[in-house]
Amino acid sequence: MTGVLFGSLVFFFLLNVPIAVAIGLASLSAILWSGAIPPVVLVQKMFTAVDSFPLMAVPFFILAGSLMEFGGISRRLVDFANSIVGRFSGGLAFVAIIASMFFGAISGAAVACVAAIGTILIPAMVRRGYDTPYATAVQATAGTLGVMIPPSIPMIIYGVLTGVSIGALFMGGILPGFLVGGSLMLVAWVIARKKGYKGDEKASGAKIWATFKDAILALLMPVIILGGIYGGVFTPTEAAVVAVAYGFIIGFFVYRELTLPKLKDILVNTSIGTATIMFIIATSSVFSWILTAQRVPQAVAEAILSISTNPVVILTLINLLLLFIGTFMETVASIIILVPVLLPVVTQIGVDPLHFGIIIVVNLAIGMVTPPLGVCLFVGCGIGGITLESISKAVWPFILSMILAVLLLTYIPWISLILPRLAGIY
Amino acid sequence: MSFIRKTLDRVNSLAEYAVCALLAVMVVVVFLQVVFRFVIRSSLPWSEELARYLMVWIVFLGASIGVKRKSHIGVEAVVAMLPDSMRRWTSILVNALCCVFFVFMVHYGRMILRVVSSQLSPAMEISMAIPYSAVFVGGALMFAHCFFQMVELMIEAISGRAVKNA
Repeated sequence: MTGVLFGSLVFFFLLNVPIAVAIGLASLSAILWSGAIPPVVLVQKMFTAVDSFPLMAVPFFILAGSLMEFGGISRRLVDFANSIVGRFSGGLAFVAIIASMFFGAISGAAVACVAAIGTILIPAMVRRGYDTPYATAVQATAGTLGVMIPPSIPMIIYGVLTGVSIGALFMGGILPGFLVGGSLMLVAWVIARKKGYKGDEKASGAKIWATFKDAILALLMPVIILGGIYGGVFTPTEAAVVAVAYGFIIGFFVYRELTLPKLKDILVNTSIGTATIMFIIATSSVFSWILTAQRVPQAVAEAILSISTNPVVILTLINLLLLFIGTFMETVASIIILVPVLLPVVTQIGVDPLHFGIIIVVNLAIGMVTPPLGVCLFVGCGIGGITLESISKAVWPFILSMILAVLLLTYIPWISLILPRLAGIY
Repeated sequence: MSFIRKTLDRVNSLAEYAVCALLAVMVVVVFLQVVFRFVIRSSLPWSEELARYLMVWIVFLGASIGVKRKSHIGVEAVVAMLPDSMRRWTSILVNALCCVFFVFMVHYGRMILRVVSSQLSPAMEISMAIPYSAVFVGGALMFAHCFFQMVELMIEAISGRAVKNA
């Protein structure tokens, strides 16, 4: 039965069947082949997977991000970042990375981040004489910070799946996000120095203050979200809905850049974005239910632990697996299929579930920018107007620095665990 | 053909308005839940359940809009290497496979309605058939869009016209 499950899954994937349907069809094939499970379970599991209050944070954070994007927030974040770091060599690359970190603290998705910040900054970098592939590579990789800096949709899904507190995961992602952001900046700076990309003039204190005031309402949003969750005031879902209300009020009444027709598009696109993610969650829940019922996680754990019980070796193997899967697979589906299989293995060798969640999210984020497949690359190329071949070369130094960061994160659990522990929520 | 296309377009645009409204209501309901707890200091007994059922409907209706707009992504790496003519037939096959899955969703989605229609939800005490029918309705819409796309692809393949989105 497990053979049918995985065999048909690979077959449907290779054919380019949409991921949610491929996973659903594979589960259905296994159910029909076994003959022992009534197929109506398929519909029942799909329903219960979606019927979840914690998962409602997904549509809300998507909506909040897109209200912010169309409400004029991204430009203000960019201006503020520019007034601080614009003066360094390759200053605009720093701006792209820092603005993406700000935006990541509002939105929980990487693609949204590349689109929101990249549409402003990729053209700006090109106008300043940066190579288009370099500019696009900076922005595509910076966008992945969107899933590391809280809030984060993959972390919500990991939390719902494993029972690890979503609030603790969010907090655990902060330092890793800074680490990855920092290593991206380092690479961007080295390349910019070599190519002679100059920065802007140093911004005056008054200018920094002015852009800060302009961006303050946007910068307050993460404070409200995270403060609310850690103060024990909101659940993550409630924090997300407060973020939606906040984004709506600012975009509509303060910045006045939102209009009713824009709002309709935002709502429809949020629904589609939510539906594509949740449809994958729905069918994957059937898939992972079959996996668990067939005791596949135990079998995999035994197989892996029979090769080695050395945590370093096992974590290295898992990192390689995650990087590979992340390159070819969509993030949400990877999490739902891999986590139930891998978590029992790593907990047996003493890896903390929260730490493992961060490892998974960062690895899969790298997969979003690894050629030949990577959603952030595609979006970046679309904005920069360049081909995948030309960005593929430019993006490697950045990917290497991210891999280095992920190795640090893997072998130093402290980076992911210190903040949640200090805050006393883990 | 053009009549069917127009009908499906109209159905889809209705679905778009529906998800808009459902999402807006979901935001308001959960926001009210927060307001009630902190400002008025009493919690609403029905808000969470209502929001969850709204989301179920958003997901399955939204997924049908996703089928219409072709926004459900797959793994394109292998198919991208095939020559054009073969790619066209694989996408017909993919549509056919999707149709099979949607037929199962519709069939078992209807079957489960018979089981749950006598149950009442815990908080609002509405029939569980109301949230559960989202699977059936969404599955049916997904089937309709997907089947029509498959027929269009087949007509294109046979008549030899270029695939529009290639």
